[in-house]
Amino acid sequence: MTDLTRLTAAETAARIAAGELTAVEVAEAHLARIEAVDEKVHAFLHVDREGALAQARAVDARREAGEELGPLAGVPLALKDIFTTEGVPTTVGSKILEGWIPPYDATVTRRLKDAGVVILGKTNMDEFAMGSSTENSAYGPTGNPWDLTRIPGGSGGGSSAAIASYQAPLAIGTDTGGSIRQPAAVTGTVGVKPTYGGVSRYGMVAFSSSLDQGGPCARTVLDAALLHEVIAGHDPLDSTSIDAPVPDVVEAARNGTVAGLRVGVISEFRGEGYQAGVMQRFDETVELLRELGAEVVELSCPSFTKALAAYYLIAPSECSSNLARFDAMRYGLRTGDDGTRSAEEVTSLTREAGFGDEVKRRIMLGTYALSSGYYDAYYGSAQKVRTLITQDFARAFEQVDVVISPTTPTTAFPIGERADDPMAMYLADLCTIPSNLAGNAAMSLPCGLAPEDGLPVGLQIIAPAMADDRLYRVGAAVEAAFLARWGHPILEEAPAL
Amino acid sequence: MTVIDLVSYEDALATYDPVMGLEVHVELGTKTKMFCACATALGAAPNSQTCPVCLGLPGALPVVNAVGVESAVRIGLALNCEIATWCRFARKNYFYPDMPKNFQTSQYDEPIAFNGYLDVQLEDGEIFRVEIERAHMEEDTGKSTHVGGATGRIHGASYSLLDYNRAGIPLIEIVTKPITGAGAAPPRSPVPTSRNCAN
Ligand SMILES: [Zn+2]
Repeated sequence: MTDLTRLTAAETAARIAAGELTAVEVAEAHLARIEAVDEKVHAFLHVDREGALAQARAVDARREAGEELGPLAGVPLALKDIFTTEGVPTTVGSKILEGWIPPYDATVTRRLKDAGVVILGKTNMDEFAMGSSTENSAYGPTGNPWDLTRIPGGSGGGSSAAIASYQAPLAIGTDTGGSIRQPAAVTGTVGVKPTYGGVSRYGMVAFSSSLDQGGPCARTVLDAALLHEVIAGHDPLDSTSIDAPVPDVVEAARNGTVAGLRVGVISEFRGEGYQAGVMQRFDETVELLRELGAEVVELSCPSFTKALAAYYLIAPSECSSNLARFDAMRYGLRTGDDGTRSAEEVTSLTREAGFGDEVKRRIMLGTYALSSGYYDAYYGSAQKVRTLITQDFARAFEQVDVVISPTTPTTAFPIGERADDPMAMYLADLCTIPSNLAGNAAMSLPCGLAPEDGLPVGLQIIAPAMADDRLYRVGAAVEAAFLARWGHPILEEAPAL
Repeated sequence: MTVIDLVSYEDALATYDPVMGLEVHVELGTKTKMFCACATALGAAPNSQTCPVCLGLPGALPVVNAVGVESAVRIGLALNCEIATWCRFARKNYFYPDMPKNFQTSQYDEPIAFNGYLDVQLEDGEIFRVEIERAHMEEDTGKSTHVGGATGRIHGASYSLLDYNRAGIPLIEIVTKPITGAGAAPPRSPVPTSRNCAN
């Protein structure tokens, strides 16, 4: 009998639509897999067994009634715990929201439900999406399915670990500085940060509003495209969502090609701090692209060396304002309210108890950077760097169709290795942050295993804003070429759990 | 540190001309709030006219009220202001329990209306011109009722009641330029005019 957890989302949906499988069978297979392995992986913070089965039954009923089903109807999905879900806990990986049951669905949640996608539960993440390892979760770390003693990336480590360990074929992540792409890279999966404004942020708990972007995670490029299509598009509830047709990402994923494509390689994305095996697989991929008919152009984007510094002023500044609402007054944790303390004291005690170290660090950094007299020197200067980065990208895209790089400088590092060294942790997002600052579209997909440690290496593809389809056209071609070379999907090389 | 002796009221008036500016908050009469579709009607049960947006729930985002923007433009034109063809909102960050997001969505360096004036007719027929610095859009906060204290303030209260029905009610803040020269003339009242011009 086929193991239903090994199927792609596209296959699963097709078999359900054809009546060969029921959505309930598929959901039960994944819930059983979660039960069997998630004690070890810890991808999920909350499994919504009843909600998942109810949704699966509804899909089956619709099919039996002869209704036409959407392209992902009945397919299970793991949802990052940063999206509100009506009636289902949403913690954002923080103690400050422990026990909070949102009264409303995020737009992404709503669209998934409307498409008949079966939400299995909510996945682990670095608290408020601040981190690159999921170690900053208040609920304990997630293990990388390739080696459970290593990090699955972050902040969306739970989402990527869930799909890499066959607990779900699809997941949703959010990407503020690389939180979809870096976990995809270190778990051997596919992750896409759509163009800023491509996917609604309504109901996605804000970290840094001008950088945050939700997007799809999957095991194949086509599955990511199918999910992208379901969640993307204009939302009147998010004034920054783009009011234009969504690029045809599914068509692009079905017709991958790089023939005649101009590919830019950025010279700033290599050198000190980049693991030899990562660069080896990246350079081989560049060769592969040449063999497939692409023209490779070396480019320099000098401002990218300032991206990390600018990011660590902009993101904390916005977070300090966005997280001000967690004051113990209306929802979530309340500490020290014994009738003797003032509102101010209760707010202070609650934030002391409810926020973790990294969140506190960023709130303090951001409050300082935004404070009177420092605003221009810090936030203002960082915004200028952001403009330079956007200009560097614009110049690059005059010469090439896409830019490529390693997604992250190293493979998955051991849990605990960088936990006490924020700067070392921040370097994991060196190659991904420029795209958030510029608001363009980027994908990570597997390009092999590093020879020295046998762990997955990610290839990052970056396309101009609103050209998300280009990611899928190139990604599908690269994926097909590697599949032909390896003879099987890379995840099959991961050890059994 | 130098200690400055306080000047007597009479001496101060003799030495200085009073120069004042006014900051006036105008509540708009829109049917719904500035950034959500909640009703603005008065007299409803506490917290009955609220939603994820005006309660500042995690994840909620604002959508600006088109009628509110139109009203702001009307007020700007009535005050002979220039109207911005492009403007934006800014966050005014401060903590208070009746502020759902702990920032007020307001306008800072790019108000919708600026550089205007208002001619006021006084009882004796003279026209007095008040220069207008700016008029900008913002949202109101919720309402706190502090119970148990002697002063009705939060300090000393044994508990406070919060009603967020007011949170997000559209306001226009009108700021005058410093008003000079009024002190020389004897006090006069302006001729009363309509109070309900804003919708
Ligand atoms: Zn409301």
